[in-house]
Amino acid sequence: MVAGTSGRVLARRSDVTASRAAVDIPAPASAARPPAEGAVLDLPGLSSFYTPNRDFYRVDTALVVPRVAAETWRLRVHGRVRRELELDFGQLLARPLVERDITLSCVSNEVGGRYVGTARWVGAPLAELLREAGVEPGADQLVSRSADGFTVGTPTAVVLDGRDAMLAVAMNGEPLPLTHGFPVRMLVPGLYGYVSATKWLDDLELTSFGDFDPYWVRRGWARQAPVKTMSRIDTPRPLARRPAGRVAVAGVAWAQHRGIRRVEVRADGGPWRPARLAAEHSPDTWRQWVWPWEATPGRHTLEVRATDGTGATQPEDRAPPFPDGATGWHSVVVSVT
Amino acid sequence: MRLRSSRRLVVGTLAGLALLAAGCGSNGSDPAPAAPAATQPPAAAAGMDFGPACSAVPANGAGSFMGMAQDPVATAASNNPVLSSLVGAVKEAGLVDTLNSADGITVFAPTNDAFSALPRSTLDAAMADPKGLLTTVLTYHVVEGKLSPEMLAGTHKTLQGGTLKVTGSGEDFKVNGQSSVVCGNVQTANATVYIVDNVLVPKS
Repeated sequence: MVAGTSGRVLARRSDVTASRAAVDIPAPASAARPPAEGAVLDLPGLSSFYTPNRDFYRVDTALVVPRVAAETWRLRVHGRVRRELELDFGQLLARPLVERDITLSCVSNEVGGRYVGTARWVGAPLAELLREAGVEPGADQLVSRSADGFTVGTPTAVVLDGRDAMLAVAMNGEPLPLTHGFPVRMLVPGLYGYVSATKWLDDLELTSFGDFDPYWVRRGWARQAPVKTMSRIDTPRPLARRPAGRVAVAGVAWAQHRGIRRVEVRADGGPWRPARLAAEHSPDTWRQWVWPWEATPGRHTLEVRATDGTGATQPEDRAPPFPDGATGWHSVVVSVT
Repeated sequence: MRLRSSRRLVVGTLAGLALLAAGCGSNGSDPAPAAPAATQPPAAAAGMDFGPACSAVPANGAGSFMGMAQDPVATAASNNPVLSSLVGAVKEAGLVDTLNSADGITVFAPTNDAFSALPRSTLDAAMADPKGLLTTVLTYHVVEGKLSPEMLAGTHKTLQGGTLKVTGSGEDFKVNGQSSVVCGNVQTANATVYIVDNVLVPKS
């Protein structure tokens, strides 16, 4: 299979920084709703609803951040399609863009881990692009490639099922940072990043699962990887000391594209208590939650679990991140004096 | 720390605690050009780990994300056979998530030999009281902040509440005058680890 690099030139760092500074993202044809009052909680120690770009997690295999200038960027859509497409950055920006709030998470995220974040993204809907190319029957895998050769495989059917899969060009109001995939990355709400969120996007090929194993699949990770429901206690911190009385236990929960229906917290293995959830902004984003705990002196273990929009509650059993995502109820031990 | 041959740790079994100086799992838009360390020895980014017991063997295991995501401390320890007793105790106490989610800590990690050297009755009493005595002992091994070797000597407040005292310098350190660091300055995602040859016991 011929490598899919689309003939762009890797630029010098100063060229790419200048290129990024010159990018002007047009106003999206379909803007995101601002979160309703009540959909965002602001509490000390609680993750902010939007993760600032400088704090957004980064997991990739890039030894050196690929430097791809917008001016020379090309994307080829090829393989099992009726019509090959090629676009440059200007043509991509000229398409009707959408703006959506999406939570992205890494399959390697441990229970209680930080490899999850939420941003406002602007991009071109991917399903429309694929339909223009005309996906042939049997082309069940969309293989996307990064400028450094990294490969990702995404189920074509998921991309086409109506969710906000996009080729993103902006993150939290600015062009994609270099470390987050400038100039273009893929996003598919509801899938872990390694099967959906190709950075420094270079090439799209329609193929089949039988015909190609992407990078992490070759290393034993699951071919299909919808995100598993997860919740996390942000505050109080592990081994924190608090005075007895009311303690606001708070955190986030996510099950992208299924939404979060309920979050419960318990202390010391006692009965599960419902946490107060921020209003749902979108099923594709996390929800913040808070539980007012009447803390008595002593050492306590707090645990959280979430139920997703389909009614399924997080299982207690611990699964490690390998091969398709961790499971388990996040627990934090604290001291109350 | 010169490794005494009478207590030789198995070299090469410290897999999983190799420095993962990855550009991965870091924050921000500033391209720090560190390499994913899947097959590389610990880099000098935060100082080399010291002690002849340390090995640069990276973690193995089919399909590991090593080199992409740095492992938090309890997970990293679980990849290391030399720390299996500690990991067992941490699991028994229900402290896995607590240690993995802590932001920036230093952990003094007793070896399996250190646990074997405990009086049987002490160990049994601790394991029979996982949320009490065992948690007290284990959290006595955790200090807030990631201490570099340069910062290690001195009195430190532990997350259990009591203090411990580290003496020594360079590559030779002792905790509370009785537990030697046999492999120090080992980096994990959220903790700097100093492997010690005796379990630390908090006063009272």
